[in-house]
Amino acid sequence: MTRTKLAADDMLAVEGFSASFDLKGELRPVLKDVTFSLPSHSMSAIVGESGSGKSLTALSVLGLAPRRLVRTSGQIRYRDSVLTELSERELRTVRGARIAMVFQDARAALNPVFTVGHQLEATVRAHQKVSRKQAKSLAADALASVRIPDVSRRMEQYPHQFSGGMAQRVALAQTLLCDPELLLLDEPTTGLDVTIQADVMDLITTLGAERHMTTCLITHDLGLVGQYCDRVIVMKAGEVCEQTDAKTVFSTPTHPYTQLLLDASELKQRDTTERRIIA
Amino acid sequence: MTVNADISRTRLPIMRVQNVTKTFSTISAGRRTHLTAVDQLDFTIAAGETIALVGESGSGKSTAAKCVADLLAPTEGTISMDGAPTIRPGRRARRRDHRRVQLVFQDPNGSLDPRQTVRQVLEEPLRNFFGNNRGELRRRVRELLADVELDESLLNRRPRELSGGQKQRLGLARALAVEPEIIVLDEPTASLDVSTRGQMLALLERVQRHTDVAYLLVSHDLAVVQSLADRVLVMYLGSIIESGPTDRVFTNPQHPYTKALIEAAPKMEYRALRSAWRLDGEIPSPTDRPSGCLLTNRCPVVQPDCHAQRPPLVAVDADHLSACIHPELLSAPSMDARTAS
Ligand SMILES: Nc1ncnc2c1ncn2[C@@H]1O[C@H](COP(=O)(O)OP(=O)(O)OP(=O)(O)O)[C@@H](O)[C@H]1O
Ligand SMILES: Nc1ncnc2c1ncn2[C@@H]1O[C@H](COP(=O)(O)OP(=O)(O)OP(=O)(O)O)[C@@H](O)[C@H]1O
Ligand SMILES: [Mg+2]
Ligand SMILES: [Mg+2]
Repeated sequence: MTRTKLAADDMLAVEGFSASFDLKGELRPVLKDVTFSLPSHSMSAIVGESGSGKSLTALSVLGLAPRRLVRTSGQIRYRDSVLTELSERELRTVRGARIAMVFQDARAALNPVFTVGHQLEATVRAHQKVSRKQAKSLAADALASVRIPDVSRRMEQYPHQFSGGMAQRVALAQTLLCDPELLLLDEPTTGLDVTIQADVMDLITTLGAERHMTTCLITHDLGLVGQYCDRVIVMKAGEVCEQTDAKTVFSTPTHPYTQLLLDASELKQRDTTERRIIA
Repeated sequence: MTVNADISRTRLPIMRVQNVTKTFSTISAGRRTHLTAVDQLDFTIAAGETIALVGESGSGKSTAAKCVADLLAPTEGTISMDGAPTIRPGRRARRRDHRRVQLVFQDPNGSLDPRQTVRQVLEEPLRNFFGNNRGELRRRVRELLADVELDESLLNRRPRELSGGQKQRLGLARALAVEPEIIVLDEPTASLDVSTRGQMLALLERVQRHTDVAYLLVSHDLAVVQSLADRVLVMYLGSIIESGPTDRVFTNPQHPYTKALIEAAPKMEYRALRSAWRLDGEIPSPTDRPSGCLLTNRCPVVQPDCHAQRPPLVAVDADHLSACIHPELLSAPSMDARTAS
């Protein structure tokens, strides 16, 4: 088993972490000896094909993986504590306040029966001792920071009245309100157009620097990795196959799978001159 | 009418979207306000063609897609197929004509019933054609699985036991079941990794070649749009602000918003130089749209006369239209353009 020591400047270390799905007694391994670390104040990315175990790895950090996923070896360390040894009660004090995550399905994280403003204010009040009025203004600022227009009206609306990309940004705003030290973002920008994506990523980068956050982005978009991340962890079929600097990935990818991902990112343009249709 | 050797050049539109407007009314601070999600949309779709709708989050793409699929009734305007208006304003959206237009939703999790198996998902729409003829049902289900390259071993699985890519394919197979003429694809590749995305695109092309189905594609992924679409419609705040053949819009954008969109796409490089052509400023609310050009408060080259009135879509050349009255400022080097404003 590979072991990495939690260096003084690592915020999180996943060490030889293996886990299997318990299918009525039969164990199906999904995470195999996953080992990587997130240096403090860095922005890392986990990339890899669909089903390679990226989301399950992130959920395991928070202790939120499905019940049927059982750890078979390894551990996850965060600062001085071993997360994989903590009780559910202890984990709850870490979750949200110190380690927060934006889930892949952002809309599902919002409660359909409360207004967006109500939900954001509740988040503020759960983390800070402030008056109702202050909570409201902090919530409004958070919405504005993720480029939601017309904040006062939007605060009174329900999640279904938001477009897909707006709901995603609301979930991000809610997470940022918790002021976490370690932020895990599962596909935070897939539903966003590129101009807003750039705004949202700039915001995450700026806040990350201001608040000394450590960020880990799960993404399919290598362009995003090149633009914003320092480190890259490449996963394939439940294993980490490459862990390196973002810069190196673009200049000299070592693993053939990483090269494959880079090649697949460039799509052929459709030749519209041939197929032009007069309508 | 003369017979053209190139069949694709003489195709007539199968759907005509004319002046379609969709407003929602919402209650804010006790007052009812109207939100214009889609404003006077006008376009046609021909058989075998792929049209992409691109634009900022909240610009009305999904709303337009739902109107085309008859899941929302437009507030104004008409949508007709082969000349016969099928969707009129005011009428409650009914699932009529569903056979001709199908929608594959943005979120495959939300649109698949978690209790249904793959077989049940596909048999449901087929019953309308084959009733309970088990032999026919089985044959057609197998055909559909083959069309989207899903293995028959998945037939008894439920959605949560499928990967993201498999769920997307199932959604497409269900849409194909009723042999539609148009499939509306809302973000068909959003949750797919790059290799699955490539497979999905190849699959969509193959299905289109075989069946001549037309696609209305909604996507934020400009690489996907460039590889799949014949024509692009760029939306901003509910309106189409530029439209034209994909290659021409991408190589020679005629609207500052389109240019910003294209230049904001991340490059496959480490810390690529970023374009100075960026949109700052508040994104206006669709309840309170600017009266002049919609982009005035964010445009890097806005001019005094841009505020005067809403510029109409006009032809730049042949079938390339734009709603910017100062396209000459687009070719200026970005930095100069910015300081000039
Ligand atoms: N609740 C579950 N029950 C059974 N298998 C599951 C469950 N959740 C995930 N899996 C399986 O575990 C593997 C890893 O899933 P995971 O969600 O971590 O993938 P991912 O890398 O995040 O993929 P994507 O890019 O599609 O989100 C996949 O094969 C998936 O099918
Ligand atoms: N049911 C509804 N009630 C009120 N407003 C709505 C409703 N559905 C959509 N809207 C509003 O209409 C506008 C357009 O929404 P739409 O979902 O069409 O955007 P979109 O272009 O698909 O965005 P995205 O890229 O984020 O999915 C948004 O301002 C949205 O908040
Ligand atoms: Mg995932
Ligand atoms: Mg949408």
